[in-house]
Amino acid sequence: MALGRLVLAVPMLFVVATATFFLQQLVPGNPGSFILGNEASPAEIRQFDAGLGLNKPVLQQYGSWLGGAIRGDLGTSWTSHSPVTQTLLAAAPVTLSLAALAIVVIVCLGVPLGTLAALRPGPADRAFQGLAGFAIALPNFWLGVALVLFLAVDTHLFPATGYTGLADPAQWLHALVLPVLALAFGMTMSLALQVRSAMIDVLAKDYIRSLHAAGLQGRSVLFKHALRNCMAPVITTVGFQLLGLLAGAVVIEQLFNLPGLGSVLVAGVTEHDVPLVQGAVLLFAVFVVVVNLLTDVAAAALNPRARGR
Amino acid sequence: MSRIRRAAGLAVVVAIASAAVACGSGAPSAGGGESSSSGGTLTLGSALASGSFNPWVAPDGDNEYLQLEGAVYDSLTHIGPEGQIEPGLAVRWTFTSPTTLMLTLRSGVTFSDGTPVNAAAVKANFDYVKKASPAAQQNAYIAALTTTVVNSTTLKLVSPNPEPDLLTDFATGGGYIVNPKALEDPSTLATGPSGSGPYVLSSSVPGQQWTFIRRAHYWDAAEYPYGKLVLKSFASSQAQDDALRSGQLQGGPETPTLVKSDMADGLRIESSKPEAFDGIWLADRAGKVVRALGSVQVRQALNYAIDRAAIMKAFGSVGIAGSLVMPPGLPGYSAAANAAYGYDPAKARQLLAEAGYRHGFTLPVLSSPAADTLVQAIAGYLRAVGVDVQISDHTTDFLSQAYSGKWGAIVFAWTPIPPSQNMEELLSPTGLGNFDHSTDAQIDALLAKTQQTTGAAQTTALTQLVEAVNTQAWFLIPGYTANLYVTGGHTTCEIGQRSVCPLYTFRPVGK
Repeated sequence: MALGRLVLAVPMLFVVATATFFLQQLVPGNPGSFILGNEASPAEIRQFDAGLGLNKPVLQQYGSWLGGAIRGDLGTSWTSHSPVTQTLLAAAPVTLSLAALAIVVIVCLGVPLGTLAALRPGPADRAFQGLAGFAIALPNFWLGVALVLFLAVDTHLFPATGYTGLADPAQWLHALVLPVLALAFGMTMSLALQVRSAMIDVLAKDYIRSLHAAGLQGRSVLFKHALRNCMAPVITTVGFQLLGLLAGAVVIEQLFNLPGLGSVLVAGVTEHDVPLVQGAVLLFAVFVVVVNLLTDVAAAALNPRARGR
Repeated sequence: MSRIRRAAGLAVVVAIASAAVACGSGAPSAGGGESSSSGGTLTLGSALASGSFNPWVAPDGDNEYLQLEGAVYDSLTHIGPEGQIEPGLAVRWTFTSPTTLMLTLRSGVTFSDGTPVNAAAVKANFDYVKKASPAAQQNAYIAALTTTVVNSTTLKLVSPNPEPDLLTDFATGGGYIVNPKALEDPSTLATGPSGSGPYVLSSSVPGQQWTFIRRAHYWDAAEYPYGKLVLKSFASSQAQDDALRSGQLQGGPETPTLVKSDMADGLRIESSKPEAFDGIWLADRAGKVVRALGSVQVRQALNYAIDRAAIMKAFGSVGIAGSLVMPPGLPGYSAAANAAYGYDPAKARQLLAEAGYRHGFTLPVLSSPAADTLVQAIAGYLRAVGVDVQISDHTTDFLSQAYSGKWGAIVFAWTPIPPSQNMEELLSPTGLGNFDHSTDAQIDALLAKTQQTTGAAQTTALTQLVEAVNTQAWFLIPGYTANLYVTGGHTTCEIGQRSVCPLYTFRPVGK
């Protein structure tokens, strides 16, 4: 199944790469005039465009770019003149750190919270549902601003902006606490609601009653059987959330001035740096494919019936 | 057992959170805020999206690139807080004629590899500008110079036209002297500098952060009290402000909307004199796109229709009202001319009627999202006299739209320093600010006079030119705004008449 998914990923990436390339052709304005500024003469703009290969037919440009992309060469940034692949590889750890930490927080808090809510019907559950609804409705950038205000500007507990590499794990974690909280808060509650709902369904099943009747301890029934059985839809949700995190990172990276893929993408769009935008979009597409694949593999591991699909 | 596990789980969460907090509070912040306040590190925010260490292909003029270039290169001159020219690498200068400048250099200064900074090095730079690529970014006035080495510290510079503003150019991107050896292969400057400036590059993440260490035995070390300089790029002004208020930064360009809250938080605001004018270029003075704009009465009517004082209130303490292309304090400003267009909607309607537009006309305006507040304010007043303003926002293709000839009115901003060069750029038919290549016999003649004279005669010519442009109503300017810079409570700087504080003006408070 995994191999089939991998094979399917190739045409999918091809379609994304092709669409990205041709959509970029529709962006108004001439790259040379934008990058050289308003002092450039038409001759200088033509020379600049020729240097970038923009005077060649579009299909030839596409073939050249696609050939490079297959070899891992995504071209050179029009503004920084650095290789795009190098720029993206430098930025990817920031976004992946953010997304990985956020998903850890979401799963580690969302699953227990949802399970607890399912096991405590009544006022506690209703309060939890109200709180979860509020948390989901909070925009992550608003929460980010509030966190910066209270925990960075006022109390100086965490840095307001910036990123430190994994070479210094303590500073790395310290720099990412606020962005991760801003990104993960709503999704944690969303996952908790999903877990709660799935758990309530599973706990009402006949086989759970049979397990209790057979004398199994409540904890064993909950963790070995009920939780495992409600995990399949939860894993699908986590997969979607991971993709949402990558998208949300674009906003959060701006808010916390993190030099991740989102910042690269925004800078590329703002600076009219087409190779950078194409490369970033392609890398995001690769992440989507990988996350979908991992989600399918995890779901299959938990649910044997899903393996043959 | 269950309680023990829960307690253990809680302990792990608390431990992680505590560790995260502790590792932050115990160590210096990433920006080095603490060491900076003790005079060690100066960390500044910047709007730089990308940085080249070739100053001759960086965007020319007084802009955010000057801090990056100024860290690693010496400029020929500096500009003092009141706009006066001060020595840099050049210690003396004399105009022996309106087109000839004799420049004497400081002796004993060397580039980082020991190569002397002498007259030959300056000539190599000025000759390189003529062939620098992309040529579009070069300083055209420097490129036009004929440079002769008189001796190792003396240069003779001859310009085709009188250029009294050359000394200002030398401090604003047109006078950073690069090691001639690096200019033999300028591609090496894409990643690293080769200069004689106060700092040497220690590390960089292109487009994000540049770290510099103070050069040992620098000739002007007293002006640079910080041993380490960090420039950090911020795409979001709010993120930069958060970093400043939390102590991660010691300075950065300020946004007018943040001035009040920053002052309330104890930050220091540096404001230049109001010297930049934002407004609507009534570019179609021949009436090719918007026929009504071809009438001087209509253009004057638009100028009578707006309440400049009310509009500039939107800029708080950093804006003043005015209609001229030359703000107060600069040669060419005239208080009488500036008072010519009072707020008079009745006169505006009368002029429109006399020009045949009693029922108004439609005025499409090319704008950008950043200028929308100003344009909407102006549009409100114009609509009140019957002019239907239709605002179109463009971002990435704004400039190509502006030069496309499709727009009669264009929102733009301009800082006319140095004055005579900027009038040339703004008004000549081939100037960058003359989108529609407009010509007018009187304006062209007066402009030519400003480019052929110096001193008092040039100031008189500038005044006449500014008055003529105001009478012809080529622009719809509501007023002037100041450049703003903000520093943390422990740092000071002087913005003077610059766009950002020069590096040599930063000091720890009390020093």
